[in-house]
Amino acid sequence: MDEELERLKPLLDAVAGKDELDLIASLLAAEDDLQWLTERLADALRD
Amino acid sequence: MRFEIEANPTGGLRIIHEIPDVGPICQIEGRNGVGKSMALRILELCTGTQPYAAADADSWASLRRQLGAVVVVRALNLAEGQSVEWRLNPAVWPERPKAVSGWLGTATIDGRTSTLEEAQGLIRVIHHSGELTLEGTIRARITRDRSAVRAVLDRFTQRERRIGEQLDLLRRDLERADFDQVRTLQSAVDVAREQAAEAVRVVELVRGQHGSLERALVLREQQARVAGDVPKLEERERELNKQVDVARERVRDVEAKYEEMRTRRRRDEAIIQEIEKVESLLKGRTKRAENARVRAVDLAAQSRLPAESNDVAQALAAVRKERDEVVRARDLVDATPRVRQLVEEVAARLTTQRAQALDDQVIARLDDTAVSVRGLREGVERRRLEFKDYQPEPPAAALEARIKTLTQRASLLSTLEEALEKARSAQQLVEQAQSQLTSLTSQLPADEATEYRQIDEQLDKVRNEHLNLVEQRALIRGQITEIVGGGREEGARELADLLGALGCAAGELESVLADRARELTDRLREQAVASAALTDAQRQVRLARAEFDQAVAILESGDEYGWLRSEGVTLPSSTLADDENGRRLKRLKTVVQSLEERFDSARDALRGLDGGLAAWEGPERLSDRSTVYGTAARNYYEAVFGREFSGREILDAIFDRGEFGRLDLEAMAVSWKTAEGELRTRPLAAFSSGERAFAYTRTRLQAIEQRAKNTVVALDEFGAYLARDRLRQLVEFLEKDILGAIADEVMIVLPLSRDYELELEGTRGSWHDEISRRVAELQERGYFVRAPDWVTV
Repeated sequence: MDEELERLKPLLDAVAGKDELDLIASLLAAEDDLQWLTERLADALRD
Repeated sequence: MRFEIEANPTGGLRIIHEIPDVGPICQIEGRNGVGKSMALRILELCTGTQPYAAADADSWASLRRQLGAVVVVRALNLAEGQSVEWRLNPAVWPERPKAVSGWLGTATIDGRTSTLEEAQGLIRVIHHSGELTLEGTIRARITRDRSAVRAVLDRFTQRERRIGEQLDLLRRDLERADFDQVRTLQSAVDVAREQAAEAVRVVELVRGQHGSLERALVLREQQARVAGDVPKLEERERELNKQVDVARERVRDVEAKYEEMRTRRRRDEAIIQEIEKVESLLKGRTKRAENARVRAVDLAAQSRLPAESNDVAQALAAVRKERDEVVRARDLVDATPRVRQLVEEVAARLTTQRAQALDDQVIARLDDTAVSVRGLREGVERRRLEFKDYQPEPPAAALEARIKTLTQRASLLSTLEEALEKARSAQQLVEQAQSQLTSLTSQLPADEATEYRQIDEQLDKVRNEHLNLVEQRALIRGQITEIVGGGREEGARELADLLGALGCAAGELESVLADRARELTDRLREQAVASAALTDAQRQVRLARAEFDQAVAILESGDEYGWLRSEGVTLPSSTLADDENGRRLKRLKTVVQSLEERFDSARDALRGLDGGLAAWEGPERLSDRSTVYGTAARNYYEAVFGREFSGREILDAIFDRGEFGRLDLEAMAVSWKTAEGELRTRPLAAFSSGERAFAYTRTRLQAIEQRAKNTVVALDEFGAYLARDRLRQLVEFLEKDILGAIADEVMIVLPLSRDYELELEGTRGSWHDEISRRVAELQERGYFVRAPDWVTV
C-alpha cells in the first residue's frame, strides 16, 4: 500500500469500508490507468 | 550528521547555512532571527514533510518569493558515510502549500541521481515546535492529517477523472444498448399493430354498414324513380324517338334537294365531283360524331356526372385517391397481396429464357449456402403455389370488397373519359370537312355558290337539330339505365335484402345513416390514433435497435474501446445472437455501474473525511462536527490522544501519577483519576507551559511512526517554555528512550539567553576558551552548535 495511505489507514478505517480502501489503494498504486480499469472489469466479470 | 544550505534569500529572509556534526544530541543556540527555524523547515521539506498548513498560504508564498532562484541542500556524514544533495527551484513550486512531490526539485545520493522518495528513505528530519499549546498540538496533528488526506484525495481525484471519462463513455454506450428495451418495444409494436388492425376492422365494419345504408338509400330513391320518373322518362324517350324520326326525315329531304341540285349542275366538272366527295365524307363523319357523342352522354348519365371532361377528370382522380388509401389500409392488415404480387413478378422474371440460361449460376447466398438461379426459381414457384388458394381474412375481405367497388367506378369513369375524348375528336373531323366544303363551294360561280351555301346551311341546321334530339334521347336513355341499373326487379330485391340485413325500415334510413356517419367519424379518429401509435412504436423500436447494433459494433471494433479488448472481458460480437449480446452488455453494464458506485463511495469517504477533519481543525466549521465524518474523526482523535496521554511518563508528570480517563475533543479538556482515586477534569489550556511542552514533546516523539535510515528530530523553541529541571529531564528521556529507538540524532534549538561576552572576563582555562569561541561564532554568524552542556541550561 502507498506509504502515505498506509499512515492514514487507521483514520480511513474509521470512515470507509474495505472495498473503498482497496479501490483507493489499488488505484494509487496502478502504473497504467486503462490497464487497471480493464483488470478491474475482468475481475468483476469473473465473479 | 552535518547539514549545509546554500541559498541567496532576499527580502529579509535569513537561513543558517550549516549545522555541524557534534554528536547524537546537539543544541543550536543563537540570536533570534538568524534563521534557525527556517533551516529546519527547509530540511523538513527536503525530507518529505510539508511544514506549512493550508492556512499558512501567505507564509508559504513569502518563502517561495524570498528563498532565491536555486537552493542547494546537503545532508552529509549519514550512516555508512552516505550523503544526499537536493537542488530546489522555488520559482516553480505550487502557489499554495501542497504535499511534497516532484515539484520540489531533484535529488542525488552519493552523487548519483535518485528520486525524492529514495532520498526520503535515507534521511528524515522531524521538526517539532515547542511553542504550541496542548490544544495546538492536537490541532496541528489534525491539520497534518488533513493535509495528507487532501494529498491522497488529489491523487485519487486526478486518476479517477481519467478513468471516469472512460467509464462514463462506456456506461453511456451500454445504457443505449438495452436489448430488453428492444424486446419490450417490439412487443409494444405487436400490440400497437393488433390495435391498429382492430381499429381498421371496426372502421371497415362501420364503413360497410354506412355503405349499405347509402346503397339502400340509393335503391330506395331508385325504386321511387322507377315508379315515378322512369315512366315519364320513357314517355319522353318515345316522344323524342318520333322527333328524331321527323328530324332524320328532314335531313333526308335536304340531302335529296342537295342531290337534285348537283344533278342539275355540271356533274362532269371536277369541282362538283370534289364537292360530292367532301359531302360524302362529311356525312360519314357526322354520323360517327353523333354516335360518339351519344355514347359519351349515355355513360355520363350512368355515372351521374355532366358530360364534361374536367368534371370527369376530377371525379376519376378522387376515386383513385380513395382507392389508394383503402389499399394502404388493406396492406396494413394483410401484406399477403403485396407479397403475392412480388412473388408473381419475381417468378415471371425467373422463367424467361435469359434467366433459365443462367440456371447453374449463384444468385444469392444465405449464410454459407449458395443459391442457384434454378434453386431460387423452384423456391419462388413453391411459394407461388402456396398463394394459389389464398383468401383474405376479415376485415381484409371488407377492404377488398371496397377496393373492388372503387376499381369498377374508376373503370367506368375512365371509359367515360375516353368516350368524351373520342366525341371531341370526331367533332373536330366534322368541322374540318365543313370548312373544306365551304372552301370548295366558294370556287363556284356566284349564283351556284349561293345555292350551295343555302343548301349547306339548311343541311347543317337540320343535322344539328337531329343531333340535339339524339343527344336528348341518349341522356334520357342513360338516366333510365342509371335508375333501373341491373333491372327493375333486381333493385327491389337488393333493397329488401339490405333492409333485412340492416334491421331497419326504409323510412328510417336517413336517421340510421346519420348515426352511422357519426360513429364512422369517431372510429376513423380512433383508427388515426392507433395508426399514429403504431408508427411511433415502430420508430422507437427502430431507434432502439439501431442503438443496440451500434453499441455492439463500437465495442467489438471501435478504436475508442481498444483498451477494453483483453482476456477476461467478455464483449458482444456481431457473430453472436442478439440474446447473448444482450446478456453480455447487461452484465458489463452492471459491473460498470458497480465500479462507479465504488468510486462514488471511495470519493465520498475521502471528501467526508476531509470535511470531518476540517470540522476539528479550527472553529470555522463547527457545524460539520455532528456529521458522520465529524463524529468519526472525533472518536478517532480522542482514542489516539487518549492512548498517547496514557503513557506512564505523562501520567507521572502531569496527571498526578494516576490513571488517564478520556480526552473530550469538543471541550478540549481531559479527565483522569489520581493515584488516590480522585476524579479530575481540566481544560488543556489550564496546564502550565512547562507541563504542556513536556507532555507535548513526550507525546509527539512517542507517536513517531515513520523512520528513515537516518532520522533526525529537531525540538524547536523549547528554552522559552521549559524550566531548567524539565529540560534536563527531557534530555535524559531523549538519551534513554528516543535515541536509537526513534531517532538517530536530536537537535534542541534554544534562544540566546545569556551574555557570553560579559561572562568571558570571569572565566578561566578551557571553559574561557570555549566561551571565547562561542562569542566569536555569535559575532560572526549569530549562532553556535554544541553537544549539550548543562552549564548552558
